[in-house]
Amino acid sequence: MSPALQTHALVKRYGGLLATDQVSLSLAAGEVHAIIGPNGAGKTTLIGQLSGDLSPDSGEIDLLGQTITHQTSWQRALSGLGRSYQISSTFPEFTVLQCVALALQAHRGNSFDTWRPLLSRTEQTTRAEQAIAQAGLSSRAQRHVSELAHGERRQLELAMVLVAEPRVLLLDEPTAGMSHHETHSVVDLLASFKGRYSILLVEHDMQAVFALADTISVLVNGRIIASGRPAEIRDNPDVRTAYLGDEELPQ
Amino acid sequence: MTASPMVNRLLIGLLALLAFVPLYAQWAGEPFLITFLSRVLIFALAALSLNIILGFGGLVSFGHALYLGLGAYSVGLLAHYQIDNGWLQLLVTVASCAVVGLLTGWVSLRTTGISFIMITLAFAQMFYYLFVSLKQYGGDDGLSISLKSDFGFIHLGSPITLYYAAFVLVALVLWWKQRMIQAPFGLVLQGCRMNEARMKSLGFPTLRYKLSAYVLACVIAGLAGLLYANLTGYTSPAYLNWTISGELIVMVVLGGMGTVAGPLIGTLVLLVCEELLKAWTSHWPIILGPLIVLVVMTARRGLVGYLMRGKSSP
Amino acid sequence: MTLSLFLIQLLNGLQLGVLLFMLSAGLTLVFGIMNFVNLAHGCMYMMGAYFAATALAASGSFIVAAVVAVLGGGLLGIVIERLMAQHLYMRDHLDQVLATFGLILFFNELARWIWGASPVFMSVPPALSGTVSILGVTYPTYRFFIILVGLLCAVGCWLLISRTRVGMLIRAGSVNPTMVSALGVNIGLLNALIFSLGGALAGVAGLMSGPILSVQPGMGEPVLILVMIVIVIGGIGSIQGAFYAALMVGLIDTAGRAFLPMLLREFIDRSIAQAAGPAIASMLTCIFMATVLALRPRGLFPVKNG
Repeated sequence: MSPALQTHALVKRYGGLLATDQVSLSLAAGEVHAIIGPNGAGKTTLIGQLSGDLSPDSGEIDLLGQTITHQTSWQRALSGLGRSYQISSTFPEFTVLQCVALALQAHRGNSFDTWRPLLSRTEQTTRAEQAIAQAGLSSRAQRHVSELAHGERRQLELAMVLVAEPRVLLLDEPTAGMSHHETHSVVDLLASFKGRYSILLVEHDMQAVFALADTISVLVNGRIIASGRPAEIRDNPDVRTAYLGDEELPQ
Repeated sequence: MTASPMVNRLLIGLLALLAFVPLYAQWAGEPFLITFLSRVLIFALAALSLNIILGFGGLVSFGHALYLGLGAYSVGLLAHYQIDNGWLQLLVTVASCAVVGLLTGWVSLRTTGISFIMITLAFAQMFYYLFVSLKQYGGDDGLSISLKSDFGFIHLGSPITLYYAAFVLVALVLWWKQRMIQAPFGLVLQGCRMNEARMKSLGFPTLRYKLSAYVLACVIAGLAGLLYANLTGYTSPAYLNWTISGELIVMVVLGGMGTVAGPLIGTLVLLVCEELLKAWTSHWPIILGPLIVLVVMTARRGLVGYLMRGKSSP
Repeated sequence: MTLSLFLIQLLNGLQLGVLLFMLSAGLTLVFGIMNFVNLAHGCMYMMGAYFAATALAASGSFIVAAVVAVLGGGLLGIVIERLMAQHLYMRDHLDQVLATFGLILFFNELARWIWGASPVFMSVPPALSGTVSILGVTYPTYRFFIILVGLLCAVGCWLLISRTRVGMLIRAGSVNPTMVSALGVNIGLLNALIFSLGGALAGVAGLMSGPILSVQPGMGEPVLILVMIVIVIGGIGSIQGAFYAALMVGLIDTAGRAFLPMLLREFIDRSIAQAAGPAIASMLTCIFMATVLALRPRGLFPVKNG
């Protein structure tokens, strides 16, 4: 079966800085592929090119068998790609329910209805409430985003990307700033997605990475220095060197 | 963004009052009241249209008077050729505003921020100069309109009919916007204002929606222009001037952007203030100018926002 | 159409271009560095012209008028920045548009009150009132003088931006304003300086325009709009962009007005050309801007963001 997501020699430069250096990786269907690396390695830049927020200087990106390198971010979203942001990117004046319902609305035909309230569409609202429950945020569904705590915003971030059931998920540090308990819930949730969704996961939380990942790629200075099964990565000397002082890889 | 019950009651009360103005004016022998409040309603209509893109969409258009002018000239030019059929004038208004709005919107919406402001201003001035250069249609002096719009069942030559035409349009647009705020289209617009990058990554082709809202706003402003030409019996390039565009923005912001009732209240307050100041001194802009600066520096959310504070979440 | 006519219009285009540059240099910096929409820039131009006209009438010396215009413009810039602009940097563009709109209303009426609604006359200094021979054509000395002054200002700006420490801070500020203030630079002083520099340049532009244009209330805004077109075409925050765009817009506007009606008459019925010519000419700069934006939404020389 063809990979859910694939890149071929992706390159991105910022002036003299090579943020993405010939990155070729492959996300197999139904698996979790984690990207790890020290701070400043270029992980968010890579995700940005995959989601369409940034355009690469050279290289190709394939999504579900189709080349999408020059597609806009909204075209990719409608093709089945969902992205969550490292820093929660939501709609401050809306309620949690409005945010999630709006996220779903993008996949429900056009939005030229100027008369009937969005939330009167029961099928969509029910689905939105389900996604909010999945993210563990049901009790806060009617709250405005500005009232949410940091961890809750991360949960909202997740709900917004899950509601449309995208085939491929790009998750940029979904557990950043979450408590131990919340992280655990997210890890369980993502584990339950294996087989159904294909997930590219950027993470710093090593326990989450090693609990979830089928494949791990290590990104250092924009370049992938190692890629393989978790056990191989754990024992890889280059990876240990890159991480010396940065993270403790779990034994 | 939902209006508090108190503001809704205020709005309904205001509308009810406005509905009775012509009757009162006739009884009290004050026809000026009808003329003045017609002007308020017409500009409120234009301000309401601007609010769709400015308040909901966050797009600071400094050239909205262009469409007011197009509507006025649609009447003026046709009347010049002895065509007073209101429906034809309406068709020309809608068509010209839609086409010009589509073209200028498509170019302008490729930019954001300061560029967008400047480009919308530049386009409006371009048409200003165009109408000034059309000497055969009055040029700088404008065109007087002796034949008012005839729609068959109503004739805008009657001040009271014109007043109620404006009133009905304002009420309808207010109602529509009230619905729009919670409808998919309105939510998408507001989403684009708050976080356009996220809207795109969620799967919304944002340009499509911004452009649609822009064209809609232009057409409604054109309707206001059509009414205005009938009110004044005159059309001129001055109607497209940037000062009018600026005043429209003041009306929207003064009343409270993004609120439904804001533009109506803002227009009423601004025009009443102008009338009072004009009666006091011929140098009234010297006072109005700093007054606007003061309002901007202090009242951040407009009058409706001021009334709504503490009643809804931040 | 003779060669001499063509050359004269070329020079006229240059003259308009340098005037536009003097006005757009300061404004593009204010837009680019402080992210501040200053619609009141035209007011500094207008006040510069009024200061110059009044000083000239009072003293009879063009040099005195020049000093008054530059100092007056610069001072006005500082006053506007300290009293109002600095409180609005963090606010959104809409608030800035409104506040500066309020200032325009104020200044135009102030001018009307002090100097009256009719244009104030400003004479061409006697030393510059003749003609010169350039490229084989006879051209008014004063207009040539404007071109020289404008080019001098351009060189001065270039030296300031590329050769001085202040210029370096300005360049850094246009790429990354937050970083510059984080580096401990007195950003308040820098901002006031930029505003007053813009005001001084606007004052010079007002001084130079006085003898050839009408000094009257509201004279700032038509020019301001042309200046904004220049800035958008050149790229916000870029003085280099402003220079090239100003010359382009100056040439296109002048040539368009001079030659388009003539050109149209060759192809279309005379009466239509008579009407359409000026109309299209006045829209030419806007059409040019629209074309540039369709191809390059960020202008011809966009400042690369850090």
